[in-house]
Amino acid sequence: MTLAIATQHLTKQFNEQLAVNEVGLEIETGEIYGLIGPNGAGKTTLIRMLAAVEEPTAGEIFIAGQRWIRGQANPELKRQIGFLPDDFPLYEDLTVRHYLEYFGRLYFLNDPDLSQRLDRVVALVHLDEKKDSLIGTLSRGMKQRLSLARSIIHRPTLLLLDEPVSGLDPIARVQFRDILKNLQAEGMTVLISSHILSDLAEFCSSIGIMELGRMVESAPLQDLYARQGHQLISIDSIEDLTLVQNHLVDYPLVQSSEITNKGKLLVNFSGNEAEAAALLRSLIESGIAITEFTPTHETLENIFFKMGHQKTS
Amino acid sequence: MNPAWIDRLADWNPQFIRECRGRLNTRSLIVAIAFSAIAQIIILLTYNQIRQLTNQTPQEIWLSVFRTLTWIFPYFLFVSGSYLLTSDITNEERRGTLNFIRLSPRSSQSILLGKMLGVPILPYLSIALFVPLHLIAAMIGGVPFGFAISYYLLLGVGAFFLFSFALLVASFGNTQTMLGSQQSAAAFSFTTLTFFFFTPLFMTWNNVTSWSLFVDIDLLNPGRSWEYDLEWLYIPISSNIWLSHLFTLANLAIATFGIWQILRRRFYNPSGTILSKYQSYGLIAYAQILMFGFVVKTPNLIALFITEAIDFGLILLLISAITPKRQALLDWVRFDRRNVWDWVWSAKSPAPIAIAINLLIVNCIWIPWLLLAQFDNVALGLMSLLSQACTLLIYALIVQLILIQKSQRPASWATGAIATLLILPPIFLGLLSITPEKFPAIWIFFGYIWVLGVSLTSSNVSIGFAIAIFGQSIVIVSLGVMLRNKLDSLRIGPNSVPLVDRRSP
Repeated sequence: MTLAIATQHLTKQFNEQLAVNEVGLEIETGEIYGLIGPNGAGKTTLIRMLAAVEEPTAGEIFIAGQRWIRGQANPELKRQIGFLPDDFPLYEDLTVRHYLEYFGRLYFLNDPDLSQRLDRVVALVHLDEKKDSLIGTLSRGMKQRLSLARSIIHRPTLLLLDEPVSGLDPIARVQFRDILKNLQAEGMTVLISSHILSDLAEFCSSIGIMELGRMVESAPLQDLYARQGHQLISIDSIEDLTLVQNHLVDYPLVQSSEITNKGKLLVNFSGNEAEAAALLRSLIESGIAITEFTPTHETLENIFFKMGHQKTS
Repeated sequence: MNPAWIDRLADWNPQFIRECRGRLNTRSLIVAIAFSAIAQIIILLTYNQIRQLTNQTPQEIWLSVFRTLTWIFPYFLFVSGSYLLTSDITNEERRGTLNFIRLSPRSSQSILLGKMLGVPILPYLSIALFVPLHLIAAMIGGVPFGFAISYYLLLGVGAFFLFSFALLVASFGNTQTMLGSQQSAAAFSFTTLTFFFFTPLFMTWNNVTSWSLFVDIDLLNPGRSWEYDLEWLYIPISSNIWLSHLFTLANLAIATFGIWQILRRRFYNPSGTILSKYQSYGLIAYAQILMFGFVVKTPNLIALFITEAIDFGLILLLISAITPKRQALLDWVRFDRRNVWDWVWSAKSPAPIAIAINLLIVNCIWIPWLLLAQFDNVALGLMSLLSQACTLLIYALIVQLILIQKSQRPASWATGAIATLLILPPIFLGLLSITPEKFPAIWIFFGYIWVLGVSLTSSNVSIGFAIAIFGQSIVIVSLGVMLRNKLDSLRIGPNSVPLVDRRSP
């Protein structure tokens, strides 16, 4: 399968600091790839280089297998890319419709295709009723959704999103998440950077972790979970949970357990799914009345803190 | 739904329609129409008053109306258009909206043409509303039809050139040049320059070359018979109507083409140097040929010194336009440096070698002319050319050494340093009574030989010249060594190792 994005030794130097340091990134077509890392890790610079806003100091970028060089006309490649930066400057003197028409036409969309696409995109970002409103009158959340609409009006195959949910309220975040899922269903490859890791864990298929300009980890999310070598199991019972805890003390694959303040027993279990099933069987066979047995993963936050900092500090 | 013609226009150039949509609202349209109508009424009332106070015939009055409008059009169009374009581009750059346009697959030419046609749409409209009165005045005033055609043709081509230039100046907003341009300052400065220099130049030039050939239309000296004698490469460009138009239009076309080449590069690389090195070679060669054409029939030192003075200013501007900043040099020494040709062609390499090549191009024109033409003092001419080249090379090295430094405002420092070198030496030399006659070497050392040339003969200055050139050579070599050392220190500086590796024990 052709990679949607591939970079080789991608480097960006600001003053004497390497903001992005020899990054080799591979994102498969159709993936939603989440980019995480602390402030100053180089996420924005990396995305800006991929969008051709910033010129790399060294290294190469390939989009859909073709070499992507900033400053060259390359209209075919440009039509494949949509970019939403963390700030979203707009033309406040235009209406939503005129703004999207303008960008659609910049990407060579003509009527009737343009009108159909405009209606589709406006509906997708829930701005149907604001089509003829001046942009200056929209709320921040609406402006952010309009920016997203601008970045997808031309049907890009690759969407680059830099902190798209920062500053949005929880409802707007949920809406944004749904929009992204719709875009993925349309076959779009998405690269998204965000500090809200719980959101990324919900819809990303792969994760890249950046620290000090380096890509310290890049893998499918499931691989990251599996690589942790253990899972958390939440257990509840109608009996006293300390009884259950005592039963597990000598169970070979149980690393530790604790009763949470929500009244659940959280077990750190190093076995696989079959071994978890065996644990459940053992509890039932010992006569404990189990009302809940839920295996869960380590959170993305935990993985980030462990992996990112371990490899760079 | 848009009317079909608007859709077709928008498909051809979406930028043009975007600009029109942002500007052609009811209020601004009323203002533009009212402004035009009121201005026309005022002009007509004024001339009606003049007619009553003087004994001028109606034809003479209408000719005066025509002349007045002929002067007003370029001032109004050029000044308002230049301001609107420079401020629009700099505002878009500041807000960050221009980046999205850059990422679109439309060509830079299409985007910038849309800007040029759309941003000054209200001044265009106001002028268009004036045109009927202008043409009626021409008709009744007995102005030849050819003049009207020539006027509108040159006005259009002149506006295209000037607005291209305005777009170029606006694109400097993102560049830390030697002039240290600020965004709002760019719009203000260029508009002022348009008002006080470009528009008078446009009117004067066309009047001297093309329009004075139409009987009785002399816009500079109405009512007077005036003959201008201007030749370029012995071609009489002010006495033949076709040649004058051809010369003006050809030069405007070449200059505009050059500007669009620069614009195309800057549109996609706004943080780079203003000009690439190869563009600087082309620009300097074109300027030399243009100047040579005008002075070739007057082989004397005054003509040479005038061209040298123009070249001096031009090369100073080139130094600011092609000298890369510290970041570009860092990128070049650590990642991009390939071979010796980089010094000649790469936009990120240090500028002094490119400036030396530009000086070589300059002297490739003037030295043969000096040797082959009948000059009364060839030696002094040669010395002035050589001394100026050395002085400018020293300036180029100083600017590059300042821009390579880590400082808050290196461009301002560089500007200050060059201004100091230009202004202070003659003041101090004067205060210390170090006259050119007594101490020619010192004056030549600071690059003022063309001032001396007027009062001294070559025998007076030959020894002084030798000492001065020797001193300048030492300075050039010293600065060159300093630049090389600085580049070496950047390449192997403490931060040249990737950050993560440096953190490892």
